[in-house]
Amino acid sequence: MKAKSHINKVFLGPPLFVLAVLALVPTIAAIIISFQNKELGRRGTSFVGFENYINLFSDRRFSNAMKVSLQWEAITVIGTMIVAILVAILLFETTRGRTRAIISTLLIVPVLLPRVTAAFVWKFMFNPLLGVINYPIKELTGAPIEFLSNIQTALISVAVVDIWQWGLFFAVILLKLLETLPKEPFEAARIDKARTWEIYAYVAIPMLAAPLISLTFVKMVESLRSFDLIYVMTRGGPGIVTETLDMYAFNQGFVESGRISYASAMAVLMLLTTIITFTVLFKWVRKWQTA
Amino acid sequence: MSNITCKKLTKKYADLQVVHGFDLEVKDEEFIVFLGPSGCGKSTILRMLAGLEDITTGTLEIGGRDVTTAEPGERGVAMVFQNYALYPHMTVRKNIAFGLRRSGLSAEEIDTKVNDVVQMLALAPYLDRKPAQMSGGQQQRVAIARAIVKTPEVFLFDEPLSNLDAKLRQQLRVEIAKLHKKLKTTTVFVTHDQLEAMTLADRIVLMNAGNAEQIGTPQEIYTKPRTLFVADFIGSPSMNFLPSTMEGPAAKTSVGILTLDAMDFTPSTSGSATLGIRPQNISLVRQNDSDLVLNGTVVFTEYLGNEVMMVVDCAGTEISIVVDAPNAVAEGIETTLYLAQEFLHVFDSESGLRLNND
Repeated sequence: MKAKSHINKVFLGPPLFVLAVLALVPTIAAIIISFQNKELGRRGTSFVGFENYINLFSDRRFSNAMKVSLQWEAITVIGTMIVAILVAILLFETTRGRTRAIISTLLIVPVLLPRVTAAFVWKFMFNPLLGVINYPIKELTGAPIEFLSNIQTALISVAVVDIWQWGLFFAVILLKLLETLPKEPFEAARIDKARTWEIYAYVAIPMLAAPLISLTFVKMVESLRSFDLIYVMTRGGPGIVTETLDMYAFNQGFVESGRISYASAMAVLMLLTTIITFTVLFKWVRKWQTA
Repeated sequence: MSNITCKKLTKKYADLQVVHGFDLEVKDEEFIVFLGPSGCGKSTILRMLAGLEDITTGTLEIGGRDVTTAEPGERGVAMVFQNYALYPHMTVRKNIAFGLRRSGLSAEEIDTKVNDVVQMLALAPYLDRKPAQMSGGQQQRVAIARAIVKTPEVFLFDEPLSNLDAKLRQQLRVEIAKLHKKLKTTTVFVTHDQLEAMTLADRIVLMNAGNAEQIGTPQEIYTKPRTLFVADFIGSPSMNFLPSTMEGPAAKTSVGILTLDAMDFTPSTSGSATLGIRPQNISLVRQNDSDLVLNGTVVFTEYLGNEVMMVVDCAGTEISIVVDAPNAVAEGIETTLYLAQEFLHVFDSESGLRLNND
């Protein structure tokens, strides 16, 4: 027992130390700065209490960013999971052996691309003049759709890239999970007159509930970190239609006004919201799973 | 009427043929057991009946309806699997009701039907449990309930008792027999356990390498095995075999010349035959004047309770015999064996066919 607890420390120590330096220090710094009135290009700072936070609640651009972030989470998480499930089932039903292995490998490629690369590739594809996506649209309707500069389509178009990367990757994971399921419950369901979609909806997917929930959590966390994708594709535009919280914080802190403290307050709020949301979700899921 | 007619069923996986022209007529209300060693194709044929495996060639009729290419759900069959195959995320009640819901019955009808089978199988206390919270025996009863509730034309059982321990296996076997008496549903039951086959079957289909080696009542299979394979497969301990060359009624074997003067059999065309006799049909005392006599030394005994299995070395050939425990002879003692000719089987060594005329 004693030796075991000792080994715990040996293994946990170094990563915890690295984590403390890399994560804890900036986090504490951000919290401190958020209570100040630090600005880039201006000397002298003082503590201003909750002023930054109070200002945020009357900032309509902040509430817009909040809304965009929520939309982004919802679209990319739900979109990824739906695409993953549908593609996995399609492959499970229609392919086998080598074909399946080759397609699986191809589906993993998008997520292997650095996100900035993926963003540029799609930015070119969406391009109204040169883009391959707009080519047939121009042929058919005579006018291109400006996917990334249209208020209606900008957020969705960026989300498509995210779903393309992660949905297809998750599809491969799901396909492998489907392969591990025992085949008898599927056969029992066929004898029980279940149609193909019913077998998946009522038997296969529920049997994969636990890993599906884990994947959803992974994607939720991952979607929070989509700054680089949005930055390359739209920079939050047109206007502020695709300006998520991190994008707005970045704009406030470094691009437009250099209001570091104001941006830090946003970051701290994001941190709190994320911690609370995920804690509640985790608890809720655990309760639901044991029930 | 839900009889089953299999006509020249074959199954081929790429180049590998696993079922070779399987013919069978199952009568309405009959309990048929497919018995055979692993890999003999018995489960494959069952799965072909269920529609879980495609039929390569041949036709299958259930209740007079051609279902050769029908979907599993359209065949009027219900199946119980070796590893239960319950839906793990559903409660017992939902597991049982799943098939009924798919066929679009009203909620009240489903409730009544589910409650009926739950009563029949004494599953009421477990209705809200999930499969993982139940023992193997209970899970298999849920699986049986799920099959019964659909009131199918045919029940298919794929080694349903193989995963259970000995005591449960026996209990559930009796339960299945009782259910069949009550419901009278045509049943096909696959097993590799001869005890299950003997006790449950109206008729046994003994399978070997994708063919039906013999189809008959348990008694026929036991007393008149059609081939060497059947004779060897059925009975415990296994039948004793003595390869021999025949000259009229005289059989030259490794234990000496045996004169089969009290037997009626067709001489084997090749001249070589295999004599077979069950350990239970060899006695330590003379029963008839025609008994064949062998002398040997007891080399091994196995105590079975009220009986003892003895292995006797007769001129280098080991013969096993089963006697009542009080009559057993200890290891190392010389003894005389009496083989009753009425229980002796003669098989053609080449074709394996039984040559007795009875």
